[in-house]
Amino acid sequence: MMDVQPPKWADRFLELFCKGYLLEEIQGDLYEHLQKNYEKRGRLISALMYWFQVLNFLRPFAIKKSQNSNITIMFKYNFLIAIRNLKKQRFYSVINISGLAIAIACCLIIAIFVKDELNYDKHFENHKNIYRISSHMLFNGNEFRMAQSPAPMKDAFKSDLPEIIESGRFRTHVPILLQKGDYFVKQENVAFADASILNIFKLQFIHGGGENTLDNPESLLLSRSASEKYFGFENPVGQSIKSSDGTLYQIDGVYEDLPHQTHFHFDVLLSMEGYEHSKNTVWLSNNYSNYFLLKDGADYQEVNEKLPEILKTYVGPRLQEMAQISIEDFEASGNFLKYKLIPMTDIHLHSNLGAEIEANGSMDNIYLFSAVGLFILLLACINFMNLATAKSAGRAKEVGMRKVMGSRKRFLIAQFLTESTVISLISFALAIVLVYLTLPYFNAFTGKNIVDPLFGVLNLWPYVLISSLVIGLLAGIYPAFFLSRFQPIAVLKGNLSTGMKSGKLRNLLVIFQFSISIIMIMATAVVYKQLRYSQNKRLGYNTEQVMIVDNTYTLGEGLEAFRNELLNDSEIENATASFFLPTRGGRSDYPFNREENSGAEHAISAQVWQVDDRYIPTLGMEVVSGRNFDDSRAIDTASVVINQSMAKRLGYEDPIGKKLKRVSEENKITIIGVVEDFYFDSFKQKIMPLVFFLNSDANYSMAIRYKSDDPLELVAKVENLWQEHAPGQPFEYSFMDQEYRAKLEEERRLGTIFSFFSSLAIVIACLGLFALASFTAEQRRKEIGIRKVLGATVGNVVSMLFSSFSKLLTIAILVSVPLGYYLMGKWLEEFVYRTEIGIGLIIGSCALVFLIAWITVSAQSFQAARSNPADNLNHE
Amino acid sequence: MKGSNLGEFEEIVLLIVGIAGEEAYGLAIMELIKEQAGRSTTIGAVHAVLSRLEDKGLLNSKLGGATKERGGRRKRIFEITAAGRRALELSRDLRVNLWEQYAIKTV
Repeated sequence: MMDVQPPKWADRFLELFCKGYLLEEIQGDLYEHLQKNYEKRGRLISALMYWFQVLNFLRPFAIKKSQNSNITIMFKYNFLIAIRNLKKQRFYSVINISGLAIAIACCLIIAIFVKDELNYDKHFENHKNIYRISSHMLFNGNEFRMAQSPAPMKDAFKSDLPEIIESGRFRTHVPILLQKGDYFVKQENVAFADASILNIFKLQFIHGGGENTLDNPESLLLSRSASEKYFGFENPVGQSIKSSDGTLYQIDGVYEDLPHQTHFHFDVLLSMEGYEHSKNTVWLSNNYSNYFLLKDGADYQEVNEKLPEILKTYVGPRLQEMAQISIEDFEASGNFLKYKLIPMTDIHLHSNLGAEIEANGSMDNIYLFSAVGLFILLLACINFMNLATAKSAGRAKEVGMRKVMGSRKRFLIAQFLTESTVISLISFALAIVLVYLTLPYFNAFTGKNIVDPLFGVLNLWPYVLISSLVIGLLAGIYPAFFLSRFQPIAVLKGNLSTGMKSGKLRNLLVIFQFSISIIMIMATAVVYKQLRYSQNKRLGYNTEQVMIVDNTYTLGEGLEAFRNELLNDSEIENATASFFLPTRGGRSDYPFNREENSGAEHAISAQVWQVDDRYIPTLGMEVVSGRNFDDSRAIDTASVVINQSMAKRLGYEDPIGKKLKRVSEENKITIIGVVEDFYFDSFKQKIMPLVFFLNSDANYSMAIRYKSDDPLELVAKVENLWQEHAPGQPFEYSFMDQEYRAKLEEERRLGTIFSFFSSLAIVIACLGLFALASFTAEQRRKEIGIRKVLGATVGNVVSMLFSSFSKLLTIAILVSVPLGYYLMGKWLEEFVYRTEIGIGLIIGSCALVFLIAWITVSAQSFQAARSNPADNLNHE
Repeated sequence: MKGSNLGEFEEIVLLIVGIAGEEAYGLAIMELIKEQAGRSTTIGAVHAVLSRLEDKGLLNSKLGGATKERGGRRKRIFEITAAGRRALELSRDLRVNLWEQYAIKTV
């Protein structure tokens, strides 16, 4: 008995092509080889190698000579005939090839996007063993999922878990100002990093980066582009660079810029040693991105299972101390605190938590785009099949003749498959040209930097080659079997009933195509409608006529003087300095209690925003009850203004004058006002409770409400003033309405992508319809001629030709509208605040498809209807 | 007949057939090539050369016994013909001659 059976299909395939007298010994060799491999490498590898060996056997000396004809000659003639047919039927060829080429180009672009997204973080040498901790907390009904974790975790886990061989942290830093010549310039993408991070990620150093890198508290690393910004092309290692707060940093190394397929792109890494906070042992604040390098072969899921036990020892005591609650009680009341390792390569597509270092992609998009790509391709393949069956009447005679002359069915099939493969190969060639032409736009749109998708890092060429063959075969398989089935006697006698039967399938395919087009048009319309909804929604604050000036902390004490001078200007209504703006990130939250409660079990987690007394009027928020802060009342420093969501959570009938306190503190804070709820997150999230505190020192940027009609003049004015107060400091500004629109960028992009794909879908569907219409008109030429002789008008003929397609379109609408309604309803469910699909939108989408289809069909129909009946009828 | 010039890979295969004796069949030859020359090849490539050498008349073959690990199939055992031995000798002589001239030139 054999230990392992060889792959059945591989053997069959070998028997199919291999010369008989060689077969026995070859199979013997292969079996023996299989047994040996099986013992060494297991079932899968040995089976794959078996296949490889069989395929490798496809050599001239081993291949059976066909008894009927010489295979190579057959291929040659098939190819020639294919080319001739393409030339003979130019119109169909052009439509077929262009439709297929556009669809393939579209699929390729999607494939590039997908493969690029899937390749994130795989360029790091250790990528398979690098993991990051995510935190997941439920705390009195507030749930947090974060990409960050506590500071002391790094050392604790490393010492307690033998699987971990290295651990390191990033702590992102706000932009800093570094000296360049006589000025300070703003440097973004700054983070503190542990020296051990370098052992995990193995950054590629251009200069420096040897022993003791980042050990000194005042040392830093620069990326190549940052280094070039400050030092040109010289080697800056050992030099110092000054920051605006006076620190003199010493440069320890320059590393190669990280490729775009990385989940972080820091340009400046400061030594974690220089950051005192990193040494604290607070387990309940999550501010660090913790990374762990695991031993080769260690199972991270096993490590995850050990985490709860370890956490109890570290988190338990802190919980007791801060919230007066034991970890058992904490968990018994339904709360939890979980940490888990996730593979670094999953971060980009699967993580998507709060406090990610950079915005991530999403696996949903990958699925969505792959599906769209496949649909578009399917549409083009359907066109292909439709056209091939439609023109079958024309080729029926050819098939009959060939059969009479002795051609076998399988040679005819081979002939038709060769034709479709030739078409597919030509389309692929065109598609590749299209892809390379559109690549710059693609890069600009997605923010990627892909130069050579076929042979570059993505290395797509094998997929392209294989799929071009597969698509050729798939698209050709139905026509091939359909056409080769013709009975020679019937078709040569001119009886085409067999050809006509396929009408049903053709109709079905047209219905399918238009259903997809309608769904895609509906999807586009819904995405845009949601976008418009977001843009026009009452936000609870006013983004118009607000200018934002950044880096106001550099003014220091001069801030008040700067503001007063601004307010002296008649065109400026108000100005507020703070750290928090609804259009930006940078959040902090904290648990609060009603005054009579204590402990964590009743706490309400709320955003804490420190603002000055001008904040609410400047941003145009509405105080619905009570009053705004007043700087002149000393008591206001112990008072808060809350939003409506917070008021609701607190549950006071009239919250004004009521008190609340921070969990773990006894000081009571009085509520003096309630502002209308305003949006500060995406529309996908419910508005969170929020508490404003009065604190004029927390400022990073200044929002200025102005009346001027000429923002440019205003900018110049503010900049002049800035230069007076902060000479040499960079002046950075933006407008709030622009920032708000940027926040809607994701939906906007989705809208653009959908409108692109839906127009593509409809173009392809119409190409097919166009060809079919012209085919129908051609077929019914004689009928049209007779009708016209008998007095039919052009309009009669056109409407006659269109009525058959109208029926199909109506069915397509009946199928697609409920489906589209359901799918887009699902999409909208993601948004807590959303628009409705609406009957107008549905009617509009359907009317659009009808209109486009009508234009397509009538173009051909008019021609047929206007033709002279004499020309149509005098042939016979 | 393509004459008796041997390609480099043909020469190796021919020599291995000579070394392997009664064990000179496709898979064994492939494994010996791996062992002796450190080259990975495929069964297909080895058989292609064997069949070419047979066409040239440098090898003879006969069907050998069936064994269990071959799924009850017989092997084809190859052996060198006189012409094969002659071709190997010619090839060796040519090389030795060239090596000697090369040695004189470079010393």
